[in-house]
Amino acid sequence: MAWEKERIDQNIYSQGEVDKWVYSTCNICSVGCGCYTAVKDGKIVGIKGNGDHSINRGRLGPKGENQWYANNAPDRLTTPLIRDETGNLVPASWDEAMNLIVKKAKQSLQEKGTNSISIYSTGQGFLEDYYATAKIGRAGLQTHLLDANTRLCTATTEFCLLQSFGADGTPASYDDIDKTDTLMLFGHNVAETGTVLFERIMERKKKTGKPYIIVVDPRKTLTAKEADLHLQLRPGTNVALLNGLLAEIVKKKHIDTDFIAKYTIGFEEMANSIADWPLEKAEKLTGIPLETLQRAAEQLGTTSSLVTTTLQGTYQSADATTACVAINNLHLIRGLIGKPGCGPLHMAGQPSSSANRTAGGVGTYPAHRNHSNPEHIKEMAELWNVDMKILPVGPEKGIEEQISMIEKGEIGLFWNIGTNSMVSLPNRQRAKKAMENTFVVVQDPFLNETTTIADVVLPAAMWGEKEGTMENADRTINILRKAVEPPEGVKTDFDILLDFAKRMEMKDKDGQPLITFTTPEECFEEFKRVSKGRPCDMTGITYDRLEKHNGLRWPVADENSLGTPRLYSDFKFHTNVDYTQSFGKNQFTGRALTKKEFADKQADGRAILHPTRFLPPAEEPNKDYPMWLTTGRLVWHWHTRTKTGRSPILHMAAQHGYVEINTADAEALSIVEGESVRITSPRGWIEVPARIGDAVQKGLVFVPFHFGSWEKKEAANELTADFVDPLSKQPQFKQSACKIEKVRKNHEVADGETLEFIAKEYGMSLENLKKANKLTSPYAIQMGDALEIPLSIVNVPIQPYMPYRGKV
Amino acid sequence: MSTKLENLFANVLDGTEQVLKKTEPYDHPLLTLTRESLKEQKENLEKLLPKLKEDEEEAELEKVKEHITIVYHDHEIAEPLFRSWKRASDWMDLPSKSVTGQIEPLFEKMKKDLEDAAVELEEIYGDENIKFVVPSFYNPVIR
Repeated sequence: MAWEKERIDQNIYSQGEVDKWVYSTCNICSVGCGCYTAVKDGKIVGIKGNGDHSINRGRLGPKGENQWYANNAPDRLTTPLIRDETGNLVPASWDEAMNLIVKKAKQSLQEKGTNSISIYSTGQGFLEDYYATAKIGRAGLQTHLLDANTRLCTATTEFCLLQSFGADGTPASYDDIDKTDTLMLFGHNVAETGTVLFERIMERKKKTGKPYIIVVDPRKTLTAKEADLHLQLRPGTNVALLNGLLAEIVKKKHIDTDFIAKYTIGFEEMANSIADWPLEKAEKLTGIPLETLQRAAEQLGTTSSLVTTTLQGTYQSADATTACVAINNLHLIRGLIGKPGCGPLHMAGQPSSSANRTAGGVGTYPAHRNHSNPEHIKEMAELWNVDMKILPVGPEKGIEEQISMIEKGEIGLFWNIGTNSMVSLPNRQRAKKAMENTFVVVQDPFLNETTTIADVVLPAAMWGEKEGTMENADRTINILRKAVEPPEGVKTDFDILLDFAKRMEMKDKDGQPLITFTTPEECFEEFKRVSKGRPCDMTGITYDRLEKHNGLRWPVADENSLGTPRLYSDFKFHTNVDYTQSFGKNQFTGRALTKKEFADKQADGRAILHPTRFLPPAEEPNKDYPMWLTTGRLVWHWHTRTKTGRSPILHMAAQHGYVEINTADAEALSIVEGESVRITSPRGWIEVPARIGDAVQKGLVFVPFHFGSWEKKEAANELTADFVDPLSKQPQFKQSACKIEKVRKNHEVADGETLEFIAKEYGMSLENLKKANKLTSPYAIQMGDALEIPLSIVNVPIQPYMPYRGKV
Repeated sequence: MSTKLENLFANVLDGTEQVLKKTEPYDHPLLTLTRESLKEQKENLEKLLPKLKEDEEEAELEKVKEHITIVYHDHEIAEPLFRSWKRASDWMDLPSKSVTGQIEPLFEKMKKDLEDAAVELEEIYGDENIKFVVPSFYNPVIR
């Protein structure tokens, strides 16, 4: 077990003892911490960590500790809503709402065809919800338009794994982080996005000095501050960095030639693609000094064990899949995979986005089946007892392609489940305009920015009010037991989907109901049968075993198995043509390869090394928009704050949107701390206070994406471009161009006015007034001079959160 | 000889060549990807068309399906890439802004021809046989 001691974090608000503690799993980030939910008088009143769960030994992050407040929020929706002819959402019965959805679904099928209904779900639901979506969507509606906000979050994880290893499923696990000599956190700000995992890393680091930590990030994040080596690269240069490092490692012959020969294909093509990448070229493009690059190459080339994690800095960047594939290449050419302390650990963002990929609620068919392999589709048709010809096949459409389809009038029903798309999608004004022209169903516990474009709103149950399983970032399946009943009038996502299938009269080929499971556990049992023999085989999992063993990592082939901490320990990869989850894509353009093209590679169980061609970002600063814009998360909030914004502690810790500006840029523009500035991109603008410092490099600004109210003008996705990675189709949130403009008025100095007087008049400090006008002396003004006065200065303190320093 | 099918794919080739010609003077990462896909589409159409011609009756599906699938898959990625490049040209006021409007109808025509070709393929070879040759979003059975 990783942790030396347990530490039970808890947060309860209750008069007297709680009535019961119910077994659960944290529903915030992808770490997958075990916990118990406190219940009193039929309400959730708190949470505590599970001391026996190996992932966290009782620890919880700040968002995890506070997630339950939203359950009791007074503004929970408790009735469906339908938009009436006056444009207002008005209460309706479940029958009225569901019958309207059914009517619109049938109309869309009749008028626009089977590929006209989109179900856009989430990474925060349960595996059972996703499997139900897969079956209802593909076999019931015959639509290939199944996607989720996982496309924004971790689609790249899946596609880089498919490219290199033939199937989804991240090779290494947290156990390997506990053993490795070197840990590379590539675009992964784990200190803020996965606090418990960061504590786990830092506990070992402080005790043993291991692992050697390399952080790759354009920002000096909290994670970067703890690194042994911080590679602070320029935005959009991940592949340039990796190509340089890989070329140096190959040049120095720090490669495992035996491993390459036995267990991989494609070395020559890969090596050729990086042949012209000396470190000097990487230095020029990334801006990282040569000696730092040399140190990194030396460490990565000589370490005897290596785990590389990736997250949004890699996934939401230009060349996302190629960067992750380059990381896979690194592990393969060094033979550092499938061994203790070794392997890529491509993370997930959300608590169960991995489950959505595994269950087939997005992209590929359930249990890692290949949508382009006739045998796999035949097998699915048999498992579902439907005619094979009704099942849609071939490459799927990501959300951005679906928005184009909506613009062209090709989608008649867009069903948005458990995600606040109008805050999270890039270039959100375009998305909004598109959605306003189709029938939109929003399934959510609260009114939010997305319900403003909804035609029907369905009130959904939350964490603690339903039962099911989730899959975390390292393939662990965890169970969540129901602690309380949902509020009166509220239904679970699972029950809503089953109700829809029933009302649509979905049938199998014998005329029997398509959906026969009635509970999440029955659904899970069906999924187990579907998973048998596949990479994510869950045959040996039961709900009770999940609770008994505190989660199990797939594959779990039988009831004696305790799961699989590490994939590919036999060095056999899922690249046999009949078994593989995907025939792969062209590594540069993203074009889906044919079965023949894949078969011709003759990978036959060996991993595939790919060439990694560098392509600059689709948008870069120019004279009109001279700054880089990047977006991201804070430790205190989750996504669009639907839950965390309703916790008083989390809300108080970070209340406002803001922009982080480098000190030198702020000085050049004479911007003062807290001054409200306008950030404009070719898509739109926001006005937010400036936080000035060295967390961002010169020429770059950072805006957290959590804040998205339509009224406040602080949404990062008013600015972002909606370009996507050609393979994973994940949007490139991390690289857009923008400009900073001051929002000021002029003050003409009158006779006798002093700077001090003017500052007082506008409620400013003398120092800020001087800075805002680049004045060095308080006496350097004369009557008639024009002074610039910032229209607004707001203090934006963000509380620090570094428990590994205080508590460990 | 399946003249209609041949004509449809010949139209797609013509559209592909026109787009490649019109975009040649420009340089942008999204255009690089678009052109790379279209070049591959062109190569496969050039191989496909003689094969469609050479048989008196319909060409054996086995002989042509590989090229057909690659053409569809290339178009399926080139079209959204082109749309992204068009937006990029507008947003950043790139010199290519003036040409994207001329290219858009060519992509629309290609899409229509490929959809019509899918109908034709279905008629010639049967829906079950073309299910894994033509992607879902062009396939008349599913569309």
